Amino acid sequence: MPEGPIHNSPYSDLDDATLAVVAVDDLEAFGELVRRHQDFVYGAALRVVRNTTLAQDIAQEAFVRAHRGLPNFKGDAQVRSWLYRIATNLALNSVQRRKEYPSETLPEPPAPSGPERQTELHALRAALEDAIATLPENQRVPLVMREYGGLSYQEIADETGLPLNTVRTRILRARRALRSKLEDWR
Amino acid sequence: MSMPVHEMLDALLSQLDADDAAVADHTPGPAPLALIYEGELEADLTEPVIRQIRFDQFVREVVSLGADIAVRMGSAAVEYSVGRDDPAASVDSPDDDDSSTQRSDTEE
Repeated sequence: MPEGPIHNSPYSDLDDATLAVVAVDDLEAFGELVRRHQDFVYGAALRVVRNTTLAQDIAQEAFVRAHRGLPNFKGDAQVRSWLYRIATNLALNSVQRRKEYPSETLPEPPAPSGPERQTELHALRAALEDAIATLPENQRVPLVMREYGGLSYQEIADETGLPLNTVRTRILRARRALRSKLEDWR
Repeated sequence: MSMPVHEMLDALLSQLDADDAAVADHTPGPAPLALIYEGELEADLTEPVIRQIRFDQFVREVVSLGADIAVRMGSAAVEYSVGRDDPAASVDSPDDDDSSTQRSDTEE
């Protein structure tokens, strides 16, 4: 979440599920939902489209659509994974519209200045991007859904249309490959 | 976000090592990658999102109002037409004078 002014929102104590109910008729409450999850939703889009400007547009559109869909949100899924699915579907549609899989690498984030932690984090993210990019797509998609989106195996199976056991197998293989690459990097 | 980077990496590697065979199908994952990528967004989307939602609501209200006006105009037109067909209603209608004038013009 971007750093900014501290929001003394009257909704900050509410959990996501309650907030989602209140936000149907209350834009301030919905704003709290956006503040909580915008960084995560943006990241979900960015992992797919690999373009920061486009990812920001998609994140914005995902929240607008989520607001429209709030009355139908049953609360049987986590708000976070629901938002994740909206954002990744929009991102995948955007990629398909462009008729190409984004092969460009993510733009270099601004060079870290100062704290050593920022330098390390920058290096870890770059290594991760490289490692994930080398995975075959049929492993990368379920892996990112699980390890970034936090979706359950069942949700991933529903989203991808793959059998549950296939999802588990592909994620297991992707994990092994990713682990090996990160161990080499370490 | 204050967790040291090596702890993030450890958490990720530990997750990658995990044997999920016994994890229930509906259990959400811990999402260690989300932790590593936290803080990527440099802007605050709250304002533009709320602005867009308000604009959408405004457009919907305008469309709804336009439809309402169209319906009322349609009803008024039907009512007016019915009035014109009624001989009793046309006695004092100034329009009829105009039309009779037009008719006589045509006859000439």
